[in-house]
Amino acid sequence: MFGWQGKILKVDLSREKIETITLSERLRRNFIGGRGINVKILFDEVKPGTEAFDPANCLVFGSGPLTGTLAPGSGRFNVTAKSPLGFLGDSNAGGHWAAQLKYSGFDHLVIVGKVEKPVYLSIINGKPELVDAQDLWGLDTWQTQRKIRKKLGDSQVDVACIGQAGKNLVRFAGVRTGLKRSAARTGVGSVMGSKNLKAIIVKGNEGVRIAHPENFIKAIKKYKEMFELMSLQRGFKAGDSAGTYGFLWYEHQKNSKLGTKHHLAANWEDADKLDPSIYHNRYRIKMLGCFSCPVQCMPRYRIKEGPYAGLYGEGPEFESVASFGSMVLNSDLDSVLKAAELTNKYGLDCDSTGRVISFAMELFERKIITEHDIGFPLKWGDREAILRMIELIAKREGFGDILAEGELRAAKKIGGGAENYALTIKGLELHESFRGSGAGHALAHSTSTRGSDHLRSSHHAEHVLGPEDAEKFYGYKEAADRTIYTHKEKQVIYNEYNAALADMLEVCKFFGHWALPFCIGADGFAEVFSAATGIEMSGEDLLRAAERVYNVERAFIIREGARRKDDYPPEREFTDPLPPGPWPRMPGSIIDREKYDELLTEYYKAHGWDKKDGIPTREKLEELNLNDVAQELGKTLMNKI
Amino acid sequence: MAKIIVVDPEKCGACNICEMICSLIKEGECNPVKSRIRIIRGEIMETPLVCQQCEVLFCASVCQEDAIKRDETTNAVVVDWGLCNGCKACIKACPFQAVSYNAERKKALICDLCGGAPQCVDWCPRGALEYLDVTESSRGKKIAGAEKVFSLLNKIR
Repeated sequence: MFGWQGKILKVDLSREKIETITLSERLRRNFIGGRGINVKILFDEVKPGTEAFDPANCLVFGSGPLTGTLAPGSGRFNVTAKSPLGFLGDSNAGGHWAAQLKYSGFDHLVIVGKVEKPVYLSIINGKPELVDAQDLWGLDTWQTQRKIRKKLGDSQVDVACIGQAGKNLVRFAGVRTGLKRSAARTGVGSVMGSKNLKAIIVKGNEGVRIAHPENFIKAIKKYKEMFELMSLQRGFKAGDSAGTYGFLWYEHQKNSKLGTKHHLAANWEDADKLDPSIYHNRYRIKMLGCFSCPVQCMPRYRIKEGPYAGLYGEGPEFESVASFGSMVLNSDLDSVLKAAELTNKYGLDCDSTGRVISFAMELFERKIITEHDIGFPLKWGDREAILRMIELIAKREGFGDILAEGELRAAKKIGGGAENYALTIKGLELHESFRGSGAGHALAHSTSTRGSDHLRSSHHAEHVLGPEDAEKFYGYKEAADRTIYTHKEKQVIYNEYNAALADMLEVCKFFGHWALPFCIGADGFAEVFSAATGIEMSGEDLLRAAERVYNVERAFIIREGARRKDDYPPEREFTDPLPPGPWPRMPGSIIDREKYDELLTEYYKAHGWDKKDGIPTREKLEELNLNDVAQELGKTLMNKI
Repeated sequence: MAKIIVVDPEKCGACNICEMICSLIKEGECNPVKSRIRIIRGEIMETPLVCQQCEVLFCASVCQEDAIKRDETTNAVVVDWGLCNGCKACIKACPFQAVSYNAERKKALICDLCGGAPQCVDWCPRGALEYLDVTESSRGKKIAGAEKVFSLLNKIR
């Protein structure tokens, strides 16, 4: 077989049984790989209403057909499960682990059940086994990886693991690999913890075979040219890019979408204090890349002086800086880096962690919670309090035990009006750029199948593309205007399919539509895919597969109870205008309720879903060759309604 | 005069693209294990490992079959597969851990500079690998680079 290895490893932890299953041609042709095959497996294996921490929940790891090959940015993987925060748990990470999964001989891992005492799964040279991990269970993610490498006498094994947060079932705990690579959003790490699975170790000799090597190399050279053009035009070269922190910090500030003070503002007067060039000049050592990636957007750093002298690591990403900087009004760079380092070691999602802390700060300011409740004052910008709270969350101690439940559940536990200030969509904390970002952005984040998210349905057309490019790629120049509602469903759906395609192939979105207008597009990907796998598919075929995957996800969340009300931004978006900042791009900055209602209905219709609740129709599902999904969905709906 | 390969590990971004292109064009599949250039990664350091074309060949000196020679044109180290018996003595002997192994064919794999147009050099996005004419400066660079590689290898493994 070319591209894929053709094998799924199924692990039943309750019975401590491991078996190899063939990755069927049907799955490969229809869902391609990565997130696509992951979600189909999840839909098939997990009964609706299954609790996230129930042993019956499935934890699925997936690489793609291009993972472990020369295809640029192809070293990614998805981790998928029923989410402890909401409906669909699904997160994507880079690094080197996924390539070694392929070299170990497997495309996907499906883990069910729960083992009595903690174990790790080792897949070295194609030989899978479960090994006692009690001596690793309480360790952080860095300690875990070091200890495993020492124990095996091999510094080159790759490890995906959980830290204390996953072990303690913090609802936004993640799966980590390396110093900072993270699949954490939606809390898939706590599902791993609930199964008493500490780590998955991979290393192998089995190469990935390429069907037509010459065409493959030729197609990839096109990518290279496009990438070189992008580097020139956007002013960076491999190894000298500023990473997401450098690219996005001011882009968000200037477009009035830098999430600030628990989303109470979208501009921050202290943004200059966390200027990325301070980080790059003072602390950055070198830029590094994920497996097979020429962009190399991840910095390695070391702090030499001050209270955190000796602190080193990788990152931070832009989101980490926003989460522990603008969101909590902390203008001290060193403590932002320390906070990010703690989330890396404990194995937490930096977004949700920063969000719940900023939520608690808002409640503290409003006197809904007091120093007595928390154990110490929690004022905006208090860096010691922030670091302390991260530790309490990871260990589920004191007030951290409440915040570890996520913003929505924490609000319910706290009571006293706290629920009025919790900001989540489908149970997931709001993405940093959410507020004031405009009509299309609101629709994208609110309908994203895993909850508020910029990686599924949104692309900053409304902030980055000018009207000419907007017309070229989305068919109408108003796509770039954030105050306009009509036709926004078109660009949201375009982004959904392109983002899904990137996740199915497991290629970095930096090469996908995020690189617009320098993107090779679905057609370019199709060339690479066809040359690698020997399966001829056009760009249109791949986008159709992406539509198929998106419909499976929609069917999954509908089956779990999602309805129209779950596709709305928080109430605040309709009623509380953002304060003006130095660059107000959206006057008033609230979403028009009526216009949003209409837009949402148009979105459902454009998808071919029912216009009341966006339930995929039988017709649409059958058109997409998803008769089995239609059947299952029908069964659940008949029983519920 | 034959050109030399110069490695600067400080520029290496640990992206493994060199492994991908080498194994693909030389062995027909994408597989780091079958690449003649390898990336070794530590927690906070990394280096490429590739034949340094030593003046005195450790690999050739342990080869019982006399299978390792230098190419007349490129001065690259070349393994004669007709003579190689797959004993792996050269793999153990190389101080740069730069000899790989094709387990199916039971043959040692040593960088042969792609016959004079090394592909890893072309594909490295960072310019961590260079293929230079021999000058005093380039030789100095090569030796400095090789020393860094050697030092990093011993810290990481």
